[in-house]
Amino acid sequence: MSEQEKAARTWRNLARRTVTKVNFGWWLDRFSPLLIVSSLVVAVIILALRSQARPVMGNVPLLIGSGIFVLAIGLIAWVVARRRFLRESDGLVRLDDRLSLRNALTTADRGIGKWPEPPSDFSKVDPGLQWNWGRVVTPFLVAMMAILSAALMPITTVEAARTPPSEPLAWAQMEEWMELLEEDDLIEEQGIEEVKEKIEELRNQPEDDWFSHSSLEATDTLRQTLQQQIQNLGAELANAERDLNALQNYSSQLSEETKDKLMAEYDQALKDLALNGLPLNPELMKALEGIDPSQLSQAQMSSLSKEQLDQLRQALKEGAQACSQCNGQGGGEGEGLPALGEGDAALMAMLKKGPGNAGISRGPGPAPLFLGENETNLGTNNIEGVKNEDYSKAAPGDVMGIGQTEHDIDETKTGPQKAGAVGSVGQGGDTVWRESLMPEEKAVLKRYFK
Amino acid sequence: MALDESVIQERAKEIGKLRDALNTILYGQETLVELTITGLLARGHMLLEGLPGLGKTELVKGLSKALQLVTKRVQFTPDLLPGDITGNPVLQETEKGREFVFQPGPLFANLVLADEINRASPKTQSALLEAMQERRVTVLGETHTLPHPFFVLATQNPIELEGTYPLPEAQLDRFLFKLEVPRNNAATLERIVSQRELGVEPELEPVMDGEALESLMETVRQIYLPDVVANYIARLVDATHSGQSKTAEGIKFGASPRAALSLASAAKARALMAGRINASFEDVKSVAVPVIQHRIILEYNARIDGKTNRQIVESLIAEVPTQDFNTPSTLKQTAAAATN
Repeated sequence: MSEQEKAARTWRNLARRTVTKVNFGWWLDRFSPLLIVSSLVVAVIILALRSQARPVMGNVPLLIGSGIFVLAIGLIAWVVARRRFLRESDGLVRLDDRLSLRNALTTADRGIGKWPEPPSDFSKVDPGLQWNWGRVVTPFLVAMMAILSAALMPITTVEAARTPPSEPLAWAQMEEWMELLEEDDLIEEQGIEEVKEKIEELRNQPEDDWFSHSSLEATDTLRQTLQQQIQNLGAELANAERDLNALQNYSSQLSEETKDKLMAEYDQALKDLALNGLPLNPELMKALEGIDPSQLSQAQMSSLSKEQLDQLRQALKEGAQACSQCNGQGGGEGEGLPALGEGDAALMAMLKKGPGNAGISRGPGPAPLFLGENETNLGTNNIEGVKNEDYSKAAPGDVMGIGQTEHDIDETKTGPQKAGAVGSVGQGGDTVWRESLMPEEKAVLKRYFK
Repeated sequence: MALDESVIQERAKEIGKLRDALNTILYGQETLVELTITGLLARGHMLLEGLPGLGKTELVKGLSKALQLVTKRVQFTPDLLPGDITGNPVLQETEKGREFVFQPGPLFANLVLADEINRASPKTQSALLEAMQERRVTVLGETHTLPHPFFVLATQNPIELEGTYPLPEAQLDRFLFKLEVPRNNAATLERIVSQRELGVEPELEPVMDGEALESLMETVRQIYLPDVVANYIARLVDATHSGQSKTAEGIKFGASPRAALSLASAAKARALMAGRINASFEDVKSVAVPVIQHRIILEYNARIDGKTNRQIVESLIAEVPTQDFNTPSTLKQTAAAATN
């Protein structure tokens, strides 16, 4: 490498160093105000999070978000500052000027002259630019203080008044059924718990998913299954009670064939009760299984007394009524909840308050259209004059008025006049002072001749 | 065409000889001599202003001798007519019979000393316009080219202005430089007294001829003017106009584009004299005052406040930065500059 190439490389490096310093200075100049504004925004976010008792320290999304935010404003600052960035040639000019090189570097950079000998000690090359530390550090300190203050300042946590979201009606309805069955002690405890667990499982989903398609479908399936089981339970209990009643009280009036049929029905009812998804109370089931229907008419042969048998039948009767109440067929004695069909009807009634409340699959639909007679007389055959009295808005070419007038000619006789005559009073002295000079000029003159 | 630095050095030595020669006849006026040579190399006319007896005429004579140029001197008076300086057609007897033959005036010389130019009438002063700008004169519809090189060195006396005709702005703009001839100090006066005799002209050996001067002028044209220097010249001239700088508040009319061209040319000439291949910011600064000072017209208030054209131009130089870029607020400029 020749001496000239070495010198060129050295000077270019020095120029780049200068340019980098200036450009970084410009970037900082544009970045600082953005940093302050951004830090205030982050501080507000931190305060908002803290007020809601959400963690700030170690909040990874917050840290990542803040980092991306700082990078973004850094990028914006770079884009804005780029218009003022210097090039390497500008750095050479700067060195030329500061080192009194009489534009030798600029000239050499264009390949016209020789590169001057570079200095032996680069530290002596002073481009004449020093950091203004006050302007550099202050924005960072302000930003840091804002964020630290927001993070460490003691504040009172405000519990957000959250409105609990409404859950699907079917859940509450199923729970009501279970409570009703539980009160009558009709179903095995484990069976009730299983149904409640399933409902709780649905409830434990994220609140946003409560009304999702899958959740509603699962709810509907569970409700229909439960409804069917309760319906079956009620029907079997009613069958068993009817059979027992007939065998106990009307045995003497029944033929053997009818008795056998009733006994077979009773056995079938017990089997169905055992196979039902909602298992019957074990004690009640055991009592029912302990009855021999063929010996019901012979009180001495039965294991149960007549009173006990009546109580058992009464329990079966009440159980059947409870099941029918669950299915919306009750009335009279119980206070069961309306069945889902009736609930839907109430909901529909509520929604039918007026047109326009329609949904996609429910409601009364759009508001009805009203048809009327079309207007036939549009007045197109009438001729009406339009006047434009406001002449301030007259269009070019509009006639505003016609009148007669004459030229105003001054017919006063005048004699011959000398050319070049001037009417001015001339200039100089007081005339100049009065008519030519501006007030500030007068003030200057006064001050000068004082 | 790329210039060879050795050629430039050689030319600078030749100019140095001219400078030394002129300094032997004009004591204590080194700056004036420097600027006069700069003006010559930049192909410019010069207006010398100073009190009588300071060596203005001596300078022109010295140039004439050193450069071996044809020199003519015209003493401008109020009754001087344009034809007296441009030349007149004279009725002469020729082979074809009587006809008008153009008799060249004193303008037909390489170096014209227009002494006390402000004493001539505006009509005569205007006759110089075409000669100075176009380097030719037109008499009775016939154009005559002036010899090359052609320079006008005019003088005017800053006092005794009674009965004079101040040069109009258009005329002033034709002068590359307006040079003020300062008075000599005591030491210089002592040197003049001891080495000179009244009425005896000093001897001066020729240094170069007109052809060599033309060659030097051609070299000046080839001096490289960096873009940044051209930009500085443009901004400096622009700053003379109202509203373009703080200093311009005291200026009524700013300098013309011809001033910018003159600055560039003079800066190149300065670079050649210094043996450099390129013009620089320093060259522009060194010739800014003589180039711009007579091309601006001050506001009334500025004149009342005692400001001179020179002060205004110096203020402009201080105000307009050489580099056209700002410094961010995160950096501050230091005053002292290190040198290599």
